[in-house]
Amino acid sequence: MSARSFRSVGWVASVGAAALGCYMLSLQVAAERADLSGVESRIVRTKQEIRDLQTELGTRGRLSQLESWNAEVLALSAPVAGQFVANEVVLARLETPSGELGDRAQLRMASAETGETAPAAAPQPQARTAAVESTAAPAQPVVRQASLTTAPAAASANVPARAPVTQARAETRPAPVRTTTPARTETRPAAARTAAPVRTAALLDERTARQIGETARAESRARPPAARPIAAVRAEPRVRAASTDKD
Amino acid sequence: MATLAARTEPFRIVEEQPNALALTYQRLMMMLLIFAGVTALIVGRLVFLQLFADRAASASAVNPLIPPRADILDRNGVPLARTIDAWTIGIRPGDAIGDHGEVAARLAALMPERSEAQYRAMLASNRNFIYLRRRALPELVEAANAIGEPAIVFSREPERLYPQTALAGHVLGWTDLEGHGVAGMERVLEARLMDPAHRGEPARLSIDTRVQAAMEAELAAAVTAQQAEGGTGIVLDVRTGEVVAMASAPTFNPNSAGRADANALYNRATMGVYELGSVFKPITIAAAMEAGVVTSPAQRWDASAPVPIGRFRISDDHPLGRAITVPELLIHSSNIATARVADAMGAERMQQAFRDVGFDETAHIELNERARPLWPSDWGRARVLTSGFGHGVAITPLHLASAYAALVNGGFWRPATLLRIEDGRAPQGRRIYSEQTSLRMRQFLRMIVTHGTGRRGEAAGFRVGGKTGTAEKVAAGGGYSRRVNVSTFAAAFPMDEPRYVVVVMMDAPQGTEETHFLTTAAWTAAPVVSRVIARTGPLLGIIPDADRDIDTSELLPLVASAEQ
Repeated sequence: MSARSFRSVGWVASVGAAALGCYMLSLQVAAERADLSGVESRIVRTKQEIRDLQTELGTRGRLSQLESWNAEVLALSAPVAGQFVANEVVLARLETPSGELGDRAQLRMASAETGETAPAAAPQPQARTAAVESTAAPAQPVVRQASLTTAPAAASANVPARAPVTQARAETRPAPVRTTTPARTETRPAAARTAAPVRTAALLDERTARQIGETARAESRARPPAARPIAAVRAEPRVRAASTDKD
Repeated sequence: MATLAARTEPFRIVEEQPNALALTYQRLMMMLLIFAGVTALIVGRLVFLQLFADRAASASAVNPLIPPRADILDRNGVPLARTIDAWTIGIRPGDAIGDHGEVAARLAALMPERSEAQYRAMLASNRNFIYLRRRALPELVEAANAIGEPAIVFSREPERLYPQTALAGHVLGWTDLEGHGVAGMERVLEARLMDPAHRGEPARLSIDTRVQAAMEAELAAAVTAQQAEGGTGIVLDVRTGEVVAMASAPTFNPNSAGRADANALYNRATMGVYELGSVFKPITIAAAMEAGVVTSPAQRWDASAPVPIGRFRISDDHPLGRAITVPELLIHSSNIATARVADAMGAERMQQAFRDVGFDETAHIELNERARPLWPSDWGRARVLTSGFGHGVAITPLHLASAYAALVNGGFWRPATLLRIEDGRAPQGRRIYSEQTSLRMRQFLRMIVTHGTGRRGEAAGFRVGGKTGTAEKVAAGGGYSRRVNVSTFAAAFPMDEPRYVVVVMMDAPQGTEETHFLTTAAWTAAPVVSRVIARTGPLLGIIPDADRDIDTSELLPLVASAEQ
């Protein structure tokens, strides 16, 4: 008897609990929904605010205003034809061939390297200077063509990027390369392959960029374009080698 | 008694037990029904919330972001027209409680466009509501609120704002106080901008704000320096017919169009019809090449003596006194030789040549502010000869830009448009010149800039080609005035692969020291074109290259004699 009556109480309690649970759930949903709509309305308000601010910014920075500021203060002018560089060869032409051989030997090409090839290429800096010294006068243009950038810190990592250069050199004048740096011929193809795709990532470091800028300014004042065809012509094989390595 | 009572007891129990059981079941059933009902109610509520409440909430959340009128953007997404909630200051005279004199004095100090007496009259009037200032700045609203007069009311109303102010005002037009477009693209796109289905997405124009700004700045500088009546500049994409920039000086600010001068509201690019002069010559020559009248660039046309027609004589400013080749004709801009070419063409073919480039029709552009060309009704010999070098047919500068686009783009004429065209959706166009003629014209136009009257239109590295045109304006009393010119330079660049046509026209420029007191196009309009191209070429994706150019070497021998 008591068990039966308790059972019914149990039923009542469980149904009640279920109903309460449902109600709580409903309440919870309603609360969440209210929160959500609150967030949504905040998003809307923020979007409107962003739009207002964009409008204000656009109005304050309107082109006619910028134009008048430029006329009064900045005096910037549009870039002229000579200030556009079409490719690396033209960029290389901007370098001034100043100083002695020793100065130029420090200039190296900058490039972002993968790093794996660095240990293999580590002994190469000495080999390279040896090449420079041993092939004194005839080798000079070759060295110049390779030297695009100062990057002494990245000297060891730099070497793979020079691989295309050595390749070009090997094609034109095979004898001195082979005699001075015999090890290089073996490591070259692999290094070239890894280095080539990333070379464009960092063509110049800041100092060289500044240097080039100064040179460009100096040149635009007094322009002797005939001074550099040699560098341009010599640099071409290197570029070609790099591009063939890519595929 | 006791036994009796004892007997009845079990009977009662037997009697009552089924009742109690039924009652219990009944109660249980009731409880079950109640709980089931409550559960069903809750489930129903949940379903209801899920089905209906969600949609209603999200709809109300999106609505405020859709402006009452769609934005207008340029081709790169820079906003040119937007609708903002601007503060409006009004006054309800009936609610005024403060001292009228003091309130009026403070209002006059804040908004000096009306006098103190006017404000006092407003406060005393029996009108319901008066606007004091629409589109007020928040600082002004704050200051007006600080007066503390309850009669001064503030509200936010949607207002059309042109963030770039005067930029492309003639293209955009403006809206009235109710927010309906009354001019320019605001009027053209009225239905599209107000359509609830499309209001959320902005309309895109073909204008490039940067190019437009450069064109307006250079044009305004030239108009001011040369004290011209006005000027206009157009940059047109030759491949699609999109108008990248369209400027007309003087300009106006569409934010306050009502206060602008009527002269400033006049869009010279599409409303002004002018006899544009020598810029017609390339069109005449191209048509003559198509018709087989000009068979070879080396063909010589007599320019030794003026051509008499009736009372007039067609003569050259700088007579060459000999027979000249076609490139020479264009380089020296010989009226005599062009008249002879036009004569050889005849009235029918000359008319057809101009009809091909749409000179007999209203300018092909969306704007309502456009003019019909002055297309002559009689085509006598005098008309034919003079039309060859741009007299007698008056067109808008936009007509000219479209015609030059056809000259250089391989021979396809397309209507100009102010709406952005998606890549690859350009209209096919109508072929009016052969590829061969177009190539030849490009060489000619380039040579005019390298060797002829258009030297000042050159922009280093951009391979500009173009033709100058200096026409005499019809004077007020009739007849042409020698001193008052319409100077036009119509150019395209880069000539080895034309992408854009740039037309600049100066209306009645005055000679200055800088132009050696000349008012010809070479000194007035061409330098503007040169500067605009130098400034905007890289923005339009054309990198100047001093090492590239169109090959004109085969034609140079034909003018070499004149050079020496």
